Amino acid sequence: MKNSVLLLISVFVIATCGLIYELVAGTLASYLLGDSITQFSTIIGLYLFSMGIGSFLSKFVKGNLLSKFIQIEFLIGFLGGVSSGLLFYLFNYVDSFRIILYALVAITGTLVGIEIPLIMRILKDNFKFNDLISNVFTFDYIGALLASLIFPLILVPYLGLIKTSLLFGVLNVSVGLVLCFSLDKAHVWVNKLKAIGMAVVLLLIVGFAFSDALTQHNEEVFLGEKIIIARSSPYQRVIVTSNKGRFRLYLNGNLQFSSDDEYRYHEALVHPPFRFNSDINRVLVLGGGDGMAVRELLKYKQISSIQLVDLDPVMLKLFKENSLLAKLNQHALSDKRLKVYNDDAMKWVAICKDSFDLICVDFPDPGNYAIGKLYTNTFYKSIQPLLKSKGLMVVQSTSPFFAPKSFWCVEHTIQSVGFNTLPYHIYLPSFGEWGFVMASKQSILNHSGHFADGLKFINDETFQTATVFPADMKADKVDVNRLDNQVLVNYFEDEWGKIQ
Amino acid sequence: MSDSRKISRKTFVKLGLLASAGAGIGIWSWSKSQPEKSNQWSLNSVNNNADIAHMMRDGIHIVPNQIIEMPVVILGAGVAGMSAAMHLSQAGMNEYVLLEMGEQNGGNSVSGSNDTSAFPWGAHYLPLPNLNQPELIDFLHRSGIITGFDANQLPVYDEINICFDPEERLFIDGKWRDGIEPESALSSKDIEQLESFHSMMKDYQNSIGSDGKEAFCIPVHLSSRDEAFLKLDELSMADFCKNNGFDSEFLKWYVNYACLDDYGADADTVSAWAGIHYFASRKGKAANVKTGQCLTWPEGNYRLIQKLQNNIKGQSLSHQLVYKVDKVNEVYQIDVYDYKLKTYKRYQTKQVIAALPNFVCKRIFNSALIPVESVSYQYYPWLVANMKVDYRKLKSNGVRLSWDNVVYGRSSLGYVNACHQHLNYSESLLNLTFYLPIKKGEASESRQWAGSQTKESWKQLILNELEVAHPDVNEAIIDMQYKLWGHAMIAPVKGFISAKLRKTKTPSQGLYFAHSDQSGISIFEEAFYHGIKAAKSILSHV
Repeated sequence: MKNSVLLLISVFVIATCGLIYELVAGTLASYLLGDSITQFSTIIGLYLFSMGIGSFLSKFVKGNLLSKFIQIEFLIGFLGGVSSGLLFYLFNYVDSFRIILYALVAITGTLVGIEIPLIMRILKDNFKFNDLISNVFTFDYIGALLASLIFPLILVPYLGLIKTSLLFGVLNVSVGLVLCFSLDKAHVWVNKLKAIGMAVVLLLIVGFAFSDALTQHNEEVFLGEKIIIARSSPYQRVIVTSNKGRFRLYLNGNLQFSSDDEYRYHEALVHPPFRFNSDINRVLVLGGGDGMAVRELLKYKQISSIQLVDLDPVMLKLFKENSLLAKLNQHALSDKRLKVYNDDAMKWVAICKDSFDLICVDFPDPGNYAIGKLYTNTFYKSIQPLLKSKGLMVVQSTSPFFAPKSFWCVEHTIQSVGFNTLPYHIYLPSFGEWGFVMASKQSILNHSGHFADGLKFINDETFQTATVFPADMKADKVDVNRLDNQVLVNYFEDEWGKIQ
Repeated sequence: MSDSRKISRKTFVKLGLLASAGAGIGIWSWSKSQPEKSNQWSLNSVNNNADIAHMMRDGIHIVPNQIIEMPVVILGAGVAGMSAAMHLSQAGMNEYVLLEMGEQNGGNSVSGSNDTSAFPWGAHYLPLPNLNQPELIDFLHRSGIITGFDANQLPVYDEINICFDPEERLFIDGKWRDGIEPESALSSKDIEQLESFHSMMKDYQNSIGSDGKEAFCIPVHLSSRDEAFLKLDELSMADFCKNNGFDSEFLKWYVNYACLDDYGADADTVSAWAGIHYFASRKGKAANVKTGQCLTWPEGNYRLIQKLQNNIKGQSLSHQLVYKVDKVNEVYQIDVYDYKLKTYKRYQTKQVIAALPNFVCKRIFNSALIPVESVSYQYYPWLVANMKVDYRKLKSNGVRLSWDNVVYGRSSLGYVNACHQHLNYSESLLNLTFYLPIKKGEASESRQWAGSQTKESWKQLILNELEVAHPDVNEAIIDMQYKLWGHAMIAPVKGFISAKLRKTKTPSQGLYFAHSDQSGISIFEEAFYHGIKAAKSILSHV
């Protein structure tokens, strides 16, 4: 009788655990894959169906049922416990993430499905059938209610997904362990199970203790968004977050794009030169390892060659191979016309013997001296030989509204080495006003070209407006940014420093 | 249920648990490998030819059988000897041999490298050159460092040679601050005295002596002989400051730092003339560079050495230990031991350029060939250490890493970022060059002290200096090597420069002493000047 009370408490605990695993998988899938309705719906469906399979399979479980039950508890506890950590980790490294996700959900669901029928068979001699059904399901549903309440209110905000699943893994295994200890010590199998159970609990506890180190838990929630990818390259920390199916890329904590409006930025970076030169065939992209600029370029059939130089191999690999991110750039990094160089732009440009019709310069903002060098007169001088006489260059030049001196310093520096410039700006909901400088060795007047079809933002009218700068985006005299003064970094720090 | 099935299911569970345990241990050990292990970097000494040099000190008594006739022999391939060789070659005179004791030409401007970058072992910058040395400007022009001249004939420099921003920072009051005189850390008295000191130096900079020459000039040799200025050579820089009422602690430190930086000796040791020269002689102008800026490269002045080497068309030999120089029947006999080939040879020549420091000349020359001088040549030792660091682990409180990083109030001069002039993105692995002038009493005592230090004691000393500003520096260092310069450079002690300026002793015919020792100030421009001067004299005799 003592065992039957314990078993009913077990039902309560395992029911809570089971629902928690299901919620963890659903939440995680929403974070990682976006579209929470689809994710929750499919995860719940698969989970319940797997439980059905488990129930069906339970009839094949024979012999020492209690021992089998305990073993299953250990297995579920372990699988459920490591599930979210494992999924977070694998998401970064596997292409077929969905298969792993659904497989894990199916296995956990199946095992959970075996639990209840098994427990009912174990208890069938201790209760009347009516009481048995009533007791088991009462505890089962109470556990489910508890799980569904504490999950959003306490567990996710305070523990995060990884620790939550580990914690419930521990509880799950503990159920098995408690049962072991309540049993007659005479059985050899009990002692064996005790040892195994304690080993698993220990493992999960160790995982719990080290989970911060494993997952940078502090980053798991980043600026209010869920981190789905966090990588450190030798150059920067690459973080991709997801929120309601919207992705954001952060480099060293600075927002680079948000998937819901990045098209505005990349259209503005890439398309305007095509209005001034109908003959753009060879293109160089400096920076832009996310492949978004290349995606825009590929809208022009006449382009025969695109060369892209980005320092960070991690960025290039992520945006080429990760199916979600490659979807954002429409697999631009795998296009045959593209040749990618994983190199330092300054170094690459210095030894490049090629020449281009268009050079898109898409570096991070000049927030430090290392990047500041890529905005100096020395750099623009070294670009000159790479640009054909009718060629055009576009440089992303930070915000003329938040950082007018920085913006005009870029423009002034480009001019100082002999380029004609055409500055323009657009509105990006995620960033605010953003500026670009177009440059050419010739005057930028000839409107002979056309924009590609199907653009969502840039057209003749919007571009016309973009070249008009109101008074609040002007700046007084600015210096040329040189290697030996790095004024741009100082302007940038002053101006953005005031805002942050 | 058959037994086999029973076992297989048990085995399944066990295997599952085993696998999970394995995975768990794997993840655990992976996470253990993430935090830094206690950092055990190694410190290695770099050969500075001391053992070879000591062979010379102890004397070699072999008379070589091999006799080589050579129109001109240049002893020492430092900046002076190489400049002389370059100048001869430019005049089409290539029948000379340039003999270097070390493995590498370059003297105090040699460099090393690792997989991260090149780095200097000694001299590492050239202040924007004055326009009064046309040969130097011409050399920089031919080397591509100067790209051309503007309408006012001012040189236009290729900006990759100019020290990038940020140039200097000082660690003071627990924080790195911008510049070497950060007002935020100074009292109003400090600031006042600095201002009046700089204005005094500005006056000296513009001063012209009664003989119409600049009071403080680079090269020193072209400075005024006006006694009004030469008398400043009779007192120490420290006394000069005291006499002028400069008692701000910061100013005193600053002046002392300047003396150590350029002369390797402190303000009590160097003369006021030399101390003022540091502040008042740099008048360089350029079309696109401001006066006061400097030229620098990852490998330091070894960049200039390479440019000199490109212009040397005569014979240039390394591993040459010159151990005896004599003059017999108007012919100089130069006995040389090639310690690499283990051969002895004697050069016979009528023209010798001794581009060697005075203490070496004294040991190898027949003393009758060396003019008698009353001045004392003193050389303090230096330690230079190059360390590869993971910059991400080098925590800095205050402003960011600069080219020159100085810690207030310490005996070391701080460190220079050898990767500062890199154009490519370099914010992770860096080479930092640490400079420590050694003053433990007199020059010879300091040398003795330095010689008695062990690798371990240097390591501790370097760490102690660095930890003031970077408590975690030990974690950031990946490896370190050091070089001890026993006779690093001449110290312009009281009376030295004025004696040199008052009268130059004429050495024996056909023998030219060309070394920055002749100026008393060990800088590139002086060595270059003396090298060119000697080469010119030789050309005028040919």
